[in-house]
Amino acid sequence: MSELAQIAGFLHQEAALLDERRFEAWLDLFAEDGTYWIPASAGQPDPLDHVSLVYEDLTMLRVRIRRLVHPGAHALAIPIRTSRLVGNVMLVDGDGDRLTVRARFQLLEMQGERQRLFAGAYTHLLVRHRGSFKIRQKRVDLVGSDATHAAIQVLI
Amino acid sequence: MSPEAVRALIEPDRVDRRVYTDPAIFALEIERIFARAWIYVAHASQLKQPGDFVTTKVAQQDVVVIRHLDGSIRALRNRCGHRGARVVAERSGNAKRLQCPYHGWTFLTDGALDAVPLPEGYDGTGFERSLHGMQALPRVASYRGFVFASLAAEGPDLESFLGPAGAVLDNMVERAPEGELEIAGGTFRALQRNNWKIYLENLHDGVHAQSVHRASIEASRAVAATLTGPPRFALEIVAANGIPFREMGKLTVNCYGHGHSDMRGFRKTRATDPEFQEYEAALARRIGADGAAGVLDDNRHNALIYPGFSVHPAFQQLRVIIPERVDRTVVEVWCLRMKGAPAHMHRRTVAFANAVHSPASIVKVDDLEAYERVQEGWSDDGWVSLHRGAGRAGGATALDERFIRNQYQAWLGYMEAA
Ligand code: FES
Ligand SMILES: [Fe+2]
Repeated sequence: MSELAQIAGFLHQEAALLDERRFEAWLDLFAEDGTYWIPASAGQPDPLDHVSLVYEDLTMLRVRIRRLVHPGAHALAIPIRTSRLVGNVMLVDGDGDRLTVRARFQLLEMQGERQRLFAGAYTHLLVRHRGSFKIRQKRVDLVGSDATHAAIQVLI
Repeated sequence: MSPEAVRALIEPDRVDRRVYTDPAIFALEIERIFARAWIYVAHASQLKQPGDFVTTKVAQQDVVVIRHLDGSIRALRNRCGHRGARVVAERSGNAKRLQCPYHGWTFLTDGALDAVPLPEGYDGTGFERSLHGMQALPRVASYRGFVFASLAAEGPDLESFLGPAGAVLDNMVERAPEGELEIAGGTFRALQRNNWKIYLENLHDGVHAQSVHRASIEASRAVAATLTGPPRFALEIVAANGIPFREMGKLTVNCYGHGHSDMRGFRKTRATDPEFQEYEAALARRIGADGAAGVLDDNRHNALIYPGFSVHPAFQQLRVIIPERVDRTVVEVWCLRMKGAPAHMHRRTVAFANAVHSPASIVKVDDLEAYERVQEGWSDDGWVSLHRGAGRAGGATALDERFIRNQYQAWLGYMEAA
């Protein structure tokens, strides 16, 4: 299998875990110092000095995931279902053990009768790990990241 | 709507549900409250140079707030003096002249009409240039760098409007080691499918937190139990909603004139870590150790400047509440940087905004759901209860609904005056 095919397979697997709501398994894809970042504007230079829709390390992601499956999360009383497509996978930078991968995604969200579409670019910083990869950072650049957003509850 | 009809909607401890659902009442609120009050429109740090501008809304009118060539700040209706096209589309920028995209009329930074193409076409037509500028809002004023504008020519000046609530803005500024603040770090906007008042009525509501935020409180506690080492800022912020009622009952809520209010305490604002102490030392260099302690101990968690502005002094947050429809409100969030503070202090400000105000934060999403359910819950006539703590003497706390009753007093004052 080519390296690019292996990377694409990893991203597809990641997307499947989220659609299947296997959140703990999704979290296992991250390195211990991994971060998950959804900037609040296009081309946002950094996550520390600028606000983000989400910028979380593994500790906060664990909180987020526990909330997602908590029966008392009343904004999820009507469950959310998702389906995502990941494509246009490109290896932007591959320097030994560290890889930078870009891809595009589309994510359909249904909550009850309410349907919503998210789209944008993923930038994954990956490290090689036991024949596969771990995520050092997943950056999600939403089309319209700086638009007005209703509550975003799904992991994108 | 007659004054009597308006008054019939509000009783001392309950209000008619139509104040949240009736589009006619909403239209009247825009006209009588948002077009009369002082509305926060910008921070002076966004308008440093002549020609620097930001766009916003005042009482549903598109407005350009711009620094004029003479250094003064002007607020102009973002509407061309020709056929009324919206002139500026950007959220911010710099322009020495504002040019309408339609027929190319240009305006000076005070709104005066500067040039029109084919001026000879107006010869002998009685066309009055002075009537066709971009209209200036009657009043603009600044308080410690916070710029407000009003669509009303008459009314209290900004300082009297703010009254004791102005001290909250003072405190925000005084926290900066150089005594100055600047907008920094970007912004986000949350769409709320609810009436604007439902949002204001949640600001000091200490009762909702335990139930609305139960899932994120329990999730954060469970994760915290697995951790060792120093406390984690974001985790603590999420967990803080879980403080018991008896503690919430100790948090003082102050109510002021014009519907303003603030809430004391809630989050610890003087940290003991080395980073915070470095900041406190920087502040003490300007105002002395006692001065710094005094400023930091003035622990107001959040404050409402009625009807459309809220601040979190300790974490340097601004929120601008923009009513769009009877059941739709946009809330803009901005962060301020304290000049002279170590860089990591701004990172706390940013982390707070992310954890609490982001539309994707695990705290905010459950609030948004609750507001929406309130909006959806009313399908027939009825009353909304504001009874909690009504008729009782003594100071109000986060467990009272007094601050909401205070808002309705101001609401009546505006709405009764035809
Ligand atoms: S509408 Fe602006 S120039 Fe004609
Ligand atoms: Fe809340």
